[in-house]
Amino acid sequence: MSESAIELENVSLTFPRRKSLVKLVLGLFQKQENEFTALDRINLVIKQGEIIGVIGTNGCGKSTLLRIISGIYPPDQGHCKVNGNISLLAGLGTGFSGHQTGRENAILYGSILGYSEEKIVTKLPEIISFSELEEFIDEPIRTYSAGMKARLGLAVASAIQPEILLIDEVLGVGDPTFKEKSTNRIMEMVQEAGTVVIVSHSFGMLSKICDRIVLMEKGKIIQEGDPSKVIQTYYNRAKKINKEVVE
Amino acid sequence: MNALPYSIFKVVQGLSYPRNSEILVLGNWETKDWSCSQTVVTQLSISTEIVILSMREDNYNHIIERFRHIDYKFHIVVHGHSEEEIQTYFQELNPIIIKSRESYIGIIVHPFGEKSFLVDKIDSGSSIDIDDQGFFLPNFKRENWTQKSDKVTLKTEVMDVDFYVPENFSIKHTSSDLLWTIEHVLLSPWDDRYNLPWVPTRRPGNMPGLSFSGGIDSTAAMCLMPSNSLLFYLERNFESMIQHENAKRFLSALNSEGRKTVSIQSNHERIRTFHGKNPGFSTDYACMAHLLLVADFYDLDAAATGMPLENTYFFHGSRVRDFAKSNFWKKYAPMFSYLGIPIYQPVAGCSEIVNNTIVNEHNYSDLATSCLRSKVAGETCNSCWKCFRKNTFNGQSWNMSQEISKFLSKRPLKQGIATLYALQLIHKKGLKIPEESEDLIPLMEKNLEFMNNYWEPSLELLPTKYRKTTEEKLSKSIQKMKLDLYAVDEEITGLLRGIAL
Repeated sequence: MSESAIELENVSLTFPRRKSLVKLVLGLFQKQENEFTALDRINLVIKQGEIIGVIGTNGCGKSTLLRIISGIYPPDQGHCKVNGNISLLAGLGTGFSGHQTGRENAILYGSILGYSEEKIVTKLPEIISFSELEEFIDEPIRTYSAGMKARLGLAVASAIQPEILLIDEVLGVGDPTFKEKSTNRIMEMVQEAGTVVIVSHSFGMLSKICDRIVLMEKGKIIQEGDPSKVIQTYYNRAKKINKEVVE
Repeated sequence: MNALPYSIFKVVQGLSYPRNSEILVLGNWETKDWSCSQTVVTQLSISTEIVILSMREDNYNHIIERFRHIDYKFHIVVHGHSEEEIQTYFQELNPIIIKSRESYIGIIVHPFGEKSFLVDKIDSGSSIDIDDQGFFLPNFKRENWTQKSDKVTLKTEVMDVDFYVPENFSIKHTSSDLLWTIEHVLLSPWDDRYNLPWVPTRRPGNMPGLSFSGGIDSTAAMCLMPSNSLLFYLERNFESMIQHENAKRFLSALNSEGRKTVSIQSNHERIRTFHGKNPGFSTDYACMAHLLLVADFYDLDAAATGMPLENTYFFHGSRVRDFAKSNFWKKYAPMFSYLGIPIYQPVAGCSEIVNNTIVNEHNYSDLATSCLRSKVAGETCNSCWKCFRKNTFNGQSWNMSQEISKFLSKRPLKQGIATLYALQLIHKKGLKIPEESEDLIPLMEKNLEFMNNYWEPSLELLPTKYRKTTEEKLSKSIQKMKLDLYAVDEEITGLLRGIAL
């Protein structure tokens, strides 16, 4: 068995730019960029058992990186190798169907996450109990609040313990009373998972649990290493950027 | 609005000094105490450095959430009435809870926040007693200051420094911060104790004061300040070449105009003589020692001087510098701002030539006398370095003396750029340039017209409260420089320093 859980070698990914009507017209007269680089020659090796944090300003490529690792996006260039089954906790509840019940959506969402219907059905009592939706599980999901949807999403996504856990800013979902429960659940998963990659803005949590932090900027990794040092770099760069904006 | 608890004020000063921090105050408090030292904002942003909360408000969850977010970096100061309530709500952020005379205060230091006096104390695990005067000012010894009738004495290692203070003044009611700052401006060149960390925590007063000498520069400063500004004259109380007759005549005229002036005698200019120098100011701001002493008594909120362009943006009168970025300004400006008496230099962007124009326009030219040598009020010696410049600017004659000759031959040339302007005036009259300055003849045709205008960036250094007044008064008679000061010909500044390029 390889020692590394995840290996990214020279991974790049570009997206086409969306264009407004004005830009389309302007494009007739002037040259415009048709795509932007979301990830730019990323090289990263994550060992088994490591907990890695990913930080950076909005739009720097953090979430895209997780989606490449989870296999949602294939890279345009380079290779991404993963050793172990993966679960991505991101955008909990995305893809729920409004007219179907909570129970039906749990099975549907499980399949989106890559779990078999059989496996999800056996986990349903646990999912319903954790999400505290016993009374509402057979109601159409359009009647749910945002908090209820997030609870169901987390319950499904966390029902099966993966070997590699990818977390994208989903700590503390739901209403205030559920927040603590959801955070605890994710932290349990972190402790049980072999390898964790976590995108978060919570510097306290990151410096507490991560072995290493990766700082991204404009699709590139600009620093990786000791959590305190990398977070300090993030603050220093943010200060410089703010200063430039003010000046 | 409630009065801001002094304990909260002190904690914030301790968390910030010497920076100007952006503070969000989430409590129903009057915040004018921070008008000199901090920037108070109404909304949390990524540039907020300190958030002050009252346990009476119900907004701490939102703040705790932001505190944890990596894009924010602020310390939290919580005001509460019991240790338990602060502990209950902020437990997971590990607050340091201190008891002050007024209340309990929780301090939550951001692990990646800026270091400061108070953060260092917290990190080192020292006990924190903000009610103890020595906490923020650890090296001050009040017993060195005594008062007997109208004589206040500072005991120093080399001499007793005396000040003769106005009636009813009491040293007991004078802030220790002010007394320490006086010691700083008088003794710091020879005593490293004044470089040790401390935090000024005096609250600002209500009125500006000017260290007034009766010369051209401080008179111009007076003209650019609010009319209720108090003028503080320092009178040497020991035998020296300096005569006070002209200044006293001017003060008396100002009093009859209704202006309030205060004369304080002192011998502090003798300190330097114990260190091998002639009598004079120990540091540039020693000229404010007497004003600082009575700043609480007169409720001052700004300390003004007549420091002109030749000493600010022209280093030693001959090398252009960004005064705001000079070590001198960076050292003193925060100290005085935190002292609640920010430095107010109305003529920092004005040359001696501009100041002369301002004084003439305000009809003080007969009274404002830079000459400190004449023993007869209303007369000038016409042979000192000050008379040489003032008389030349005004097209009047002067007599060559040993003093003028000595200064004209010195490089860097004293008050370099203004002296060059004076030499150009002599040259334009068709008169011979004194031989001591013949090396400057190549500069006689250089355009120094910008010296008749003011340098606008200097206005940014004025205390916010008085900026508009000064700008309005200044722009009534003087125009902004069109030339970029930093683009002044290197040939000029080089020769003034004695370097031919």
